[in-house]
Amino acid sequence: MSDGRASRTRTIRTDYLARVEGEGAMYVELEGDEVRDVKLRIYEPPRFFEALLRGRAFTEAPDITSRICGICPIAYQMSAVRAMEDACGIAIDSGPIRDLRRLIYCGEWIESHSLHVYLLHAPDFLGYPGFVEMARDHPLIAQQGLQMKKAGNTVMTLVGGREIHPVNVRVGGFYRAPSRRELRTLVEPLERARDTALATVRWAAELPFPDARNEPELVALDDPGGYPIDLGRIVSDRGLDIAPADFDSHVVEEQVEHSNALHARMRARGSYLTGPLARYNLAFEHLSELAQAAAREAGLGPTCRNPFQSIIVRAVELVQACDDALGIISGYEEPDRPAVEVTPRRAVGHGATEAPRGMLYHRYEIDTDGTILAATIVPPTSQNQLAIEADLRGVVQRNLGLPDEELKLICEQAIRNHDPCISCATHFLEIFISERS
Amino acid sequence: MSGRSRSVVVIGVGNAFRGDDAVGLEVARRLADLGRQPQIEVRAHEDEGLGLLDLWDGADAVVLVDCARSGAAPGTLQRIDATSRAAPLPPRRARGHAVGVAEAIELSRALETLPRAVIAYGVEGACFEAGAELSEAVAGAVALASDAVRREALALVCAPQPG
Repeated sequence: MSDGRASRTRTIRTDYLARVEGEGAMYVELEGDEVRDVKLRIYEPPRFFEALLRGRAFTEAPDITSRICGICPIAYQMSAVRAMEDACGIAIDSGPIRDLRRLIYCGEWIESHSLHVYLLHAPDFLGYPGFVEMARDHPLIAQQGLQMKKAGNTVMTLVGGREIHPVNVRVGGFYRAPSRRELRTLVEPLERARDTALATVRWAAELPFPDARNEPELVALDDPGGYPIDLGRIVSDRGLDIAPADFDSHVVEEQVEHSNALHARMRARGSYLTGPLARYNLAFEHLSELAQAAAREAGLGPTCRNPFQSIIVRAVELVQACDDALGIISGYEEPDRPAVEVTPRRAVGHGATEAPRGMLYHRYEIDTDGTILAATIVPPTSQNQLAIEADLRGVVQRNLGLPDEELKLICEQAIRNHDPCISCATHFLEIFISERS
Repeated sequence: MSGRSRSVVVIGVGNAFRGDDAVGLEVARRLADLGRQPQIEVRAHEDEGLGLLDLWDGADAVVLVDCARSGAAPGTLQRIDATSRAAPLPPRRARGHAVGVAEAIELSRALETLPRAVIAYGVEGACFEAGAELSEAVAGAVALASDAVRREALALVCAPQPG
């Protein structure tokens, strides 16, 4: 290159990535027009939950693992109970206990997605460094976020006993099942939240979206009865169709030097993506009529491969979660007993559910008396790290002409497109961009 | 409206499983009896910061107590009045949530939902290891911090309302 860029090395880095859950960094190194290195560094220290679980009772897994994350404790509880029930030869795939599980999970989706859409991701599109600055100029957006989040929290509190780290979930079901009358108190806040979610889809559709397309393998659960949340086989857009029990034989987790989180990859194929984009593309037909109509009105077809548009997809999933929750409440019949009896046996069990930011897999080996002998937890952000790094590489390559500061901002936005939860991944992110000379 | 008592919410913030980060929760636990006073509510708050906005919603005053990391000696108690200016608190907390106490206060200020008095107490922490107990220095500061927060809350209840 005559302008000398070929020999110039640029480094773009963010040492402390804002508006994500947990502690991490980004590092991008360019040599001329070539992207030499892209790293999503997760430096939050590992928290050794898998080791901590060994020797504990199988019944303790939901409450212990819910402590991995303050944003998605229900996901941890639900993957844990499904895995333990699988080990004990039980599957709760229908009936009121399953309905209550799906309802509390909808609450968590509403709570987590509204935090991300309105407060963590919106400032990127509106040109603010953070949500406080955005709220001064756009108070309505922040208020809508808080109102939606509160609706989600209300669901979690009613079904789970409290909004953070709910205490009512157990292997086999719940300690106490709410009455029909109690659930009816959720209708009004959920209907309001659904109206706000519909308005949010229309608002998000008008945001400016950088041109981008990613092509990782998309992986999500396949629930024949509805949009994937709490159960199902694991499927992909490249033909994967396996039971959660076969996850281990298709996905390999590797240690990498730059991250305290393990990197997951599909054996023989490489990176893959879980989360809202994957679910939307694989299960569009299972969205409610209202959610599908909102997506179409926003200009989305049954497929969406631009990760920057994930903010619209999350808004569509907000409509879906509100609709789903209202449907469950409408048809709810109190169970005779809040939980089924689960007798331990020496076995291995697997559970996979859809956390708001992607699929969460648990595997437990338990002894005859229910003591946990081994535990493996693969959170969505571990699974998405390679795909996020591939996204970053593409974003940098398409925006080489931008000044460093602008390039850094769009890279950060590209990471937030996937709502990474670093706390979960280490069971924890920093951004660096580098130009080498 | 001078002379009428005010509603005050005392909030201990922290993480029970991250060493000294639990100090705010411990202070709230010690002040449980204070919550029996009319006009005073005592709450313990773990995890993300946005939930704080709900806890102080409608209150006249809020007293927060949390673990601090300012470089001071472990156990040092600091009082910060964030009523009319941004609190010089670290932008994010040791526990790494996307929304910390400082952001929650400033978001509430931007939305004009912040109580009319906002006082934050910080106890300088030393150890944030997962599963650790309070360090000796911080455990030794709990009584002092509890007394200071108690006096602050009682004084705020009795303080005349600004016209």
